[in-house]
Amino acid sequence: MPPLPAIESRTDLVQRALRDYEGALVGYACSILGDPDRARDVVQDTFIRLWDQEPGRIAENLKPWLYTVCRNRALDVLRRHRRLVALDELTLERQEEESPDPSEKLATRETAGEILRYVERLPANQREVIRLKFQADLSYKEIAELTGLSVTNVGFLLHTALKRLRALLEPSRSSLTP
Amino acid sequence: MKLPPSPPPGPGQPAPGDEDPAVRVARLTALALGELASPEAGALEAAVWRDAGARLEMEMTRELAEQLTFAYAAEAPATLTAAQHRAILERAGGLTGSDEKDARLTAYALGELRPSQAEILSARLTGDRAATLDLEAVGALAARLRAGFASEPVLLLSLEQRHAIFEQGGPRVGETADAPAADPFPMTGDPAATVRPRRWLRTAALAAGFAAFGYVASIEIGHQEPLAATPSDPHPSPRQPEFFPPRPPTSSPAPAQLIALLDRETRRPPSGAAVSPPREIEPAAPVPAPVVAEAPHAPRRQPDASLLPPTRKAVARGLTARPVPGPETVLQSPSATGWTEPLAGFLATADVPAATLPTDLGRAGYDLVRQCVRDFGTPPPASLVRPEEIINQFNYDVRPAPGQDFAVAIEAAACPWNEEHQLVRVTVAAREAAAPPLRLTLFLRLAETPDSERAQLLAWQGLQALADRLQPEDSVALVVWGRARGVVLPPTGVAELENLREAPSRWHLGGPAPGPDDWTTVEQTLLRQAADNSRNLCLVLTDGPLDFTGRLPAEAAQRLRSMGAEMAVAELGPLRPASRAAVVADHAAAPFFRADSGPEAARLLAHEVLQARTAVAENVRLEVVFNPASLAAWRPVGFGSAGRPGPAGSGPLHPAPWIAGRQLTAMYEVVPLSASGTWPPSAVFASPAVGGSEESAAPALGPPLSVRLRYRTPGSPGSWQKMQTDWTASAAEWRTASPDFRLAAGAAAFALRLQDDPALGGLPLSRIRDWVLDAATADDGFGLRHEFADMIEAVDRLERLE
Repeated sequence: MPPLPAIESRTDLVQRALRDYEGALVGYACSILGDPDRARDVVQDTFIRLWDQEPGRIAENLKPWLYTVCRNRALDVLRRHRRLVALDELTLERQEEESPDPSEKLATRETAGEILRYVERLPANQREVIRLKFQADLSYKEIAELTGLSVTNVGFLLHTALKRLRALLEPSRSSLTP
Repeated sequence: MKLPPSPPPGPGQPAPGDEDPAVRVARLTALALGELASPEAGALEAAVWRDAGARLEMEMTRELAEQLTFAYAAEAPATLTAAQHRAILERAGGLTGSDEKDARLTAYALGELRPSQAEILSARLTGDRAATLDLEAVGALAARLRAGFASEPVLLLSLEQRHAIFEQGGPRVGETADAPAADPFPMTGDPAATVRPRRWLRTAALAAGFAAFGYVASIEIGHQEPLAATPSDPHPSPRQPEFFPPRPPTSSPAPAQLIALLDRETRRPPSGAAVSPPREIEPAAPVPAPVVAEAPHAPRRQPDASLLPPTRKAVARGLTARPVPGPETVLQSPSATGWTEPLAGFLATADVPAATLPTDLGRAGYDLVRQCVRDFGTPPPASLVRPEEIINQFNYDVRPAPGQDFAVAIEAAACPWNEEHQLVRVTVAAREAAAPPLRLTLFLRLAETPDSERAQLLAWQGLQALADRLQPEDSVALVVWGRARGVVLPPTGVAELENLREAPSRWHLGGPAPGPDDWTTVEQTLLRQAADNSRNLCLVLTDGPLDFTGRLPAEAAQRLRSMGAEMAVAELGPLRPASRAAVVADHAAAPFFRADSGPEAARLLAHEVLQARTAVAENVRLEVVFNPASLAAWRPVGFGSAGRPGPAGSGPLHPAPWIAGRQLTAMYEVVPLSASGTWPPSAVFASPAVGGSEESAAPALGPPLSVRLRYRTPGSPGSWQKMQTDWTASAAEWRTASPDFRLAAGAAAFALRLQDDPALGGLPLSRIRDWVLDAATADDGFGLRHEFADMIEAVDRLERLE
């Protein structure tokens, strides 16, 4: 295979960002704002700001950059509107994914989604690092840069959150282990 | 403590010795403790230097400060009790006194420790059963969280917002001040970006807007020439089904990356002799053209030669260097053919009487169409459509007679999009080899990419199909490596099929890269069930990121061969540039498969893997010869422009072996000499050709079309086999064509529609779908035909919405 172009054009960069992070970013913004519409606005702003970045300089750090800008925008909106709606009060618009076997997919979703109900019972800061770690797949260092916490604090928060989750899931723990 | 700044001593200001004693002491103390701001400190320092008493006070203060510091440092630390500490931590978040160690363990489980730290911790954990269990629990919980987030309802931007991103790219007026102060990284705030020409921004953004949401495009946005035309959409599309985002009303140049993917997947020979696309490529365009928006339904632009990978560039150069019949040279002689105008895209049979067919077709062209439609909500650019690979996505009901190596089936019917033409289907099928009992060891590696969940589902579907096809003497074992690694299904026969069906519930996504120990497990498992007179097969099944390193695959394959076993690699999921599965297969000299849908996964595991990979033939030359006495012109559907046109008998020999059970199908649209009346004319059968030298030119009288096959039997180097099959039947009416013919014609028509072939402009996709559904009544056992019908319907919906 021939070598791919070293530097993306801005168009390619924005398209890639949309393709790879749109859903995750809206979900993340929604977890902060508790409002899908405001979350979409924030993510739209985030992508518009991406147009101003030099692709060669940002490509390597695209994901942390997007999450950081998205977070700052979301917090900015939150400060301005001073309202926070609990996520579980929302009726989320759902987009059905392709499923060759709907019944199997449904079963998978019910099982997999169950744990998110427990995540919602964690404190907000723990919820956020859990989402950033396991949904966005950011490293401790990237989460620390994004949230302004120290790497050690991120480690403790994650550890605490996981420990709490394990305790919450204890009755069904047998299903966790391979 | 910072003292309020006081002005430095100057003319008319008191020197240190003249000011109030209390203030003087305070300032000197502050100076001694380094608490004065620098301008004041400098001035006071100079004044103190002139005043011996002040100097003494300074020194005494500093000495006292040092003594105090030393004394406090030596004091025993006063801390809370352990219980108090634990109580605070537990109130804060459930931490305990040992949580620093536990947090480190969590970081280790999540792969967050530096390698050196991880190595030390790993050594300490050896033999620590409790810690190992903790690690496993954290790993399992992490996998469950990832799966949970992956299954979370997906919230997407609205269509309008997505377009606005491209239309409003760049900072909007009045919003800069609202931007968060910490748009975080140094790469933000590029001043050059904010002053770039707005016209350029708008045009690029508009062009990109139509290519939005993952639409595969490689628009050269850096080009600052103004557009020749600007698309506009005064009538926005209505809200579309969410699974199919809007199809852009225009197309873009073919992305080099996707072309490279296709070439990699099909593994075409570097010469490209049999698959050359002379008219697909415009060689005289070394510089990418500016983005030009085309009117809806305008023919798509062809890929620029500079975007093509080396292989295709070489093909383009090679083809343009020699005289290849192109559309401009075809059928320019109405007197010879009876036609009154040239037929674009057709080759005059008198000039080009034969074409060779490649023997190494892949199916990536079909994968690409499905991926674009399903994942990106748009058909691929016309230049990336490969009709021959779409046609060959399916197997047709052709089998050799007992004792024969090959069967060649030729079927013709009226062309459904041009009643004066005929469609001819040529299918060459190799015999199937006898399948010994299968001893299959599946080695499954699924990573944690966004596509892994789908790949997991595909693996599950494939295993269900495999369970349905197993014979009593077969057995299957499953080894996984990931968060949980090891044998999840020991060698299992038909009697315990339920174990095989439930095996997927015992594997987990992700995990570290496999190492030599994992291969040892595979080899041991394989040896447990290996048997003489059986087919002992290790199938590496992955979703792409196969993170083998070094010579491991090649060495493992060699060891397997030494044990009398085979190795194969299969990839589940979409085409992706970062996949290493094909590379691993290359290194291991193992066959490579891929599947990106449930029906394909079923075919992979229940059919392709089960077939013995016995070579039926090698050094194959496959030619189709057209008779100019019967046919005025012809064109292949796909295969570039014309396969490899040229004199009969001049085509290349393909050294790659033809594997048992493999099929190749080609579709041709032919133009009879007589456009009216009964066709083909009965005169052409007056002297049917029988056998004959394949090197000879096409007979003046004889069958309108012949298929000539020449090959060697493996292991018998001297024995050339020749086979010729003539088309001797009349062309059927379309309504009486066989289901297989309708399917092939549907695949051809669909591909030509995607290529914006003008001949099919008015043919509704719904009609093509009906042909395919007719053929789906002859089920292939896996649902591939129904899946194809669904894909056609999806494209139809996209076009109608557009």
